[in-house]
Amino acid sequence: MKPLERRLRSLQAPDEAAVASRAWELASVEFERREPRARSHRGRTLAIALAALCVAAIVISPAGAGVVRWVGDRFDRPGLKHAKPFLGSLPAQGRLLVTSSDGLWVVQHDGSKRQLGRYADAAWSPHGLFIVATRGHELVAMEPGGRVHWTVTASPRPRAPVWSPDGFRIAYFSGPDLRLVIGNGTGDHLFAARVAPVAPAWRPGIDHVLAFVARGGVTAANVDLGTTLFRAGGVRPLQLAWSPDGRLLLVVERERLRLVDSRGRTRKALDLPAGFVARRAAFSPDGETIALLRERSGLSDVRLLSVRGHSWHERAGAPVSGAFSSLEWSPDGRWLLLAWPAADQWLFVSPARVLPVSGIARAFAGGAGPAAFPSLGGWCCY
Amino acid sequence: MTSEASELSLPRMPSRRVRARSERALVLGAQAGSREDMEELFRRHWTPAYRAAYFVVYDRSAAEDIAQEAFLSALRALDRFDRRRPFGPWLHRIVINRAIDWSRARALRREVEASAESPAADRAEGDLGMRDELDTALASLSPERRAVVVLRYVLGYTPGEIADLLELPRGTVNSRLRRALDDLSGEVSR
Repeated sequence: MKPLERRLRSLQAPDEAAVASRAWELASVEFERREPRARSHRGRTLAIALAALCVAAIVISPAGAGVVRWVGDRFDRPGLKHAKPFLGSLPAQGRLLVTSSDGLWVVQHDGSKRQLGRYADAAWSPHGLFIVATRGHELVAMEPGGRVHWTVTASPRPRAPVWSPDGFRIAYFSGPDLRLVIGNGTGDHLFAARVAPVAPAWRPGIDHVLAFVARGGVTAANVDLGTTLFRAGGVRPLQLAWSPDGRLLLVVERERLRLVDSRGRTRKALDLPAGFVARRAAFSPDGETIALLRERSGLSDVRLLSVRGHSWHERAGAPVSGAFSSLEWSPDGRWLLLAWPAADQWLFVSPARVLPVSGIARAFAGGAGPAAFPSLGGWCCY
Repeated sequence: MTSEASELSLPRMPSRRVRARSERALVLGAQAGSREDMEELFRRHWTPAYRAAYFVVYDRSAAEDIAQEAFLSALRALDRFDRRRPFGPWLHRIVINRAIDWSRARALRREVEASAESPAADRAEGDLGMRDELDTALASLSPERRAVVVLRYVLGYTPGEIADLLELPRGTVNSRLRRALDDLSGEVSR
């Protein structure tokens, strides 16, 4: 054999053992999920019948009475091993907003971080050009580099600001009041009093429609015209989110999800299985999928639900379970970021990979004392 | 000293009985739900699959993605797999084709996004760290030629088997191999 050929035969790729370890974890999970082919005829018949029942339950469920047979709940890993001990580059484009006890941080795509100061409750402007956050009694709009553009003072302290999709309005709480300010920091005024402490949701588009929770129901109103589009009573949402096309409002209740159309009619509803409660849900950037973070007995997992059609179809779930506090889609919709405070980990999850990163609390702590786990403020923009 | 491998989660070393089993028997066992047989399939085929992907795309994250997706696809399709066919070539064909597609897509992206950059910039953008001259020379070949070299020397297929795998005429495989070796010899001895 020639020397060149001998050298070619001895080539090795980088990190073969570590890569194999990660692949083995995924392959094991995938193998556990599948049903063995060889089984008794009776068993096979039963499996087919059960599968048919599950499909029927999913497909036939009418709006308002949806029941999904949750399948594939076998991922009870207590924690993920081999987590990277530091945050390298993010697996997808965009930047992360992170709020820790030491203040507000912006994480760039390459993993570099910048601390902007002692702000809280931060949110991106629609294109990631600005950040709105709170500091004491101030509502502050700044550039991602930290340069402050304007401040508005509120009492009680401002909380939970949300920028409208066209960038021209910001809604925020001050005590139980929902207030509005124009994107340039002018025109601050009370919009609605005695509003439930659920983050309001702006409908995508230019007409400044805001959905919020008050008086035992969800209201969607045009904030410029002062007109109410609809009011849906009898719901107690934990969270509201509009689909990216603005046609559907996702109403997340403790044990139920609803998709409501622009006239307030429930188009689909999904009751969670007994014992499960919803913690968080988010539309994928393309609006095709809802990621649902749900919890039972302190253990949470993520389910991916197809938005299309009149019934709920479950797509493959994210192959992890833990005790997650929040989730964020990457701007390209290919990754989910799950925060796992008890494990001090972030998990970046795609259909084929799970990238755990540990030491998150320490990474966003300025001092030497005990560090609290930070909260996510959004993964924004290309 | 603690080795890296001892801290990693890898399949157990299967029993001698399993290691001696034919690939066909392993596929049959895995189809029936034998975890031990699946472990042996993984142990035999994972590293070559990842290695092949890496030496076509020269980007370790992409190679990991490609090999993982191919292996998971293979597991998902296990029940439909024709047991008369060997598992390895089936997996390697998926890996190599995806790796070539990925390399072509990257080259196109670079053309659109950075036409001013040198053609070499689209090679190995993720992994330009430690490289010996052979590595560098291999990275300078086109993905199609790299694929043939990888199949021949990293995975050990014959030119006839490569022609079957890539659905190419055998003459094309031979000429790609010959030219690739000429280029590599020139670069390495330079």
